Amino acid sequence: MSEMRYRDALGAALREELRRDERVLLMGEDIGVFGGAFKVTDGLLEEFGERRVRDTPISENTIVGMGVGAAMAGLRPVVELMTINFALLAFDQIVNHAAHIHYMFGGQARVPLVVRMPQGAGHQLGPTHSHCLEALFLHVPGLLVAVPATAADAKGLLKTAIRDDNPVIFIEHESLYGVRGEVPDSEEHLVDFGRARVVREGSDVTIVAISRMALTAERAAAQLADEHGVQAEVIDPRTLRPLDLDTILASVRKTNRCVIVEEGWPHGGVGANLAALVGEQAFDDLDAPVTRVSGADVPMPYSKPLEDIAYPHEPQVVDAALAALGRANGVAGAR
Amino acid sequence: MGGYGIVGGNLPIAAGIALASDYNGTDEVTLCTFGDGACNQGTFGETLNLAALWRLPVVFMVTNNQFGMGTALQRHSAVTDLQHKGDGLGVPGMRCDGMDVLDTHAVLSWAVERVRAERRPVLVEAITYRFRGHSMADPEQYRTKEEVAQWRARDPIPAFGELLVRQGLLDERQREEIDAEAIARVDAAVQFAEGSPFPQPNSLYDDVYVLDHARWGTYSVKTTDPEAHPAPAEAQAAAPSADGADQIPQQMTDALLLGEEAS
Repeated sequence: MSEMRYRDALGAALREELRRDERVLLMGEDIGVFGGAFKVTDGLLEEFGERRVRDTPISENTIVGMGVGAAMAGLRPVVELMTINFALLAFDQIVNHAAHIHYMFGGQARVPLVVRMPQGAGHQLGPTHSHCLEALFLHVPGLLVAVPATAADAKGLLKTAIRDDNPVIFIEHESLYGVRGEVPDSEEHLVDFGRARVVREGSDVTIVAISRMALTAERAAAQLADEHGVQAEVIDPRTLRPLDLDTILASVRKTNRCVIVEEGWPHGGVGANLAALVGEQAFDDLDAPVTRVSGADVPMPYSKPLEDIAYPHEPQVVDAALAALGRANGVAGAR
Repeated sequence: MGGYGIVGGNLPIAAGIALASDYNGTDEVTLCTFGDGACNQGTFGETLNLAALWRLPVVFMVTNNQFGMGTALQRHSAVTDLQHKGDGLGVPGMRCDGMDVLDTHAVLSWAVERVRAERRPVLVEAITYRFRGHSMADPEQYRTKEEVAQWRARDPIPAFGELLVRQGLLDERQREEIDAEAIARVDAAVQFAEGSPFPQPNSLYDDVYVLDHARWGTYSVKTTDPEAHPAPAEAQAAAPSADGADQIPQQMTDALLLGEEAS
């Protein structure tokens, strides 16, 4: 194991896969000479050259589309988009093409493409750079969606994504790039898609938390234990498609209560989807309604005080867990 | 490498295929065709620029048939000389008479060889005309019957046949045989399609994902899976299908979920 930052774990995954497989190449805005907007690709141009690490113009739809074509022709491109909001410029290629070509062509063409992008609030980047849009991609059959919360998962999931034959939307988090964690050194450190990480075991309430919210939920769970004597089980699904529903349902059957924490918008969000699945599959096991803690239903404000309250923090998670236990002593999360 | 339903959506894909050819050091050239309407999409500018920047071996061919669906060229494009639309993007243009088989062949052949040799894309504008409506639901009120008739008089297929006969390369009987052969091929394809069975209901989820390896978790939420979710007896009785092959229960109230488990 080595301790490294989330961004360096991602960089290590890219470096190892570039070395391992000649078919892997990187494309993206400012990933080469500049070293990446968030420095994930720093040093890769020097090691692998311009054939394999390609700076592109600011043309998101075409960069992703070229990734689709190159993937269909046998390469394994990894496209970096500077933020998830810019992915909306590439939605045609992601949804109409990458996601559906294998189905449209009756399985005769594959699109082993990875599209990486960071999301998340907290840096005062305003409503065009700060959103959490994983639900938009989760909605689309044909895409796989990974949302790593730790350095180890960032590396292991990215390596798995590059080796997968499906198009993968790989969603990183801007606030996690500098966070350190223990990462296995093995070049075969692969994290399977569709297998959740049980962050913390507990018997009183299940908290399912997505992306950065897995860290927020972990701190909230410690607070619940220390201050309220509540043992929360925290689950980080790690991938939204495929989804490890079995682990979530098993936990809910044990705790009989479920809180879902996400940074994105509530309407049609990841939590809405999970709440429906848990309600359909574990209705008889629930002692309280499934509760959501989500980002505020507003464009992300630029103003710092408003941005701070537009996405969940530990107090909202604590309150939601207590409310699910019938012990509400505050206001539940943003609704 | 396939047909696509989004106007202009195929341009970046073609450039990506050319990128793979270039990356692998082959001498392959990609030919990418699209209509005049696609020249107004963002992908046109984006892809021509990037293909020129990276010197990708791709021939972009715009088949200028004078209409983007029902909107005439001069009503949808400020520049109607489409061969020049790549000038500011580093992609030189040329034109062929798309109603003339030999001219089209000559210009495209030259374009392919030039791209292969110079490692930079070109844009070829083929001037042609769409004889039929855009779709079955097109009353063609945007053009006159006389205009269509004028272009039809230059239909390249009979014109090329007549040329070959005039030059003594074919006699009339050989020409008719070739025509009949082509018509028979199309008829056979239609017969094959019409004679093929419809897909089985249990194939609905096939090929959404590549599932070659051991897999965990739920890939698809299957609320309408006909096997996992048998139709209520009354729905089956109410809606019998002719061959029983397209029977998918319509009334699905309770969602059911299936995961692809580790194999």
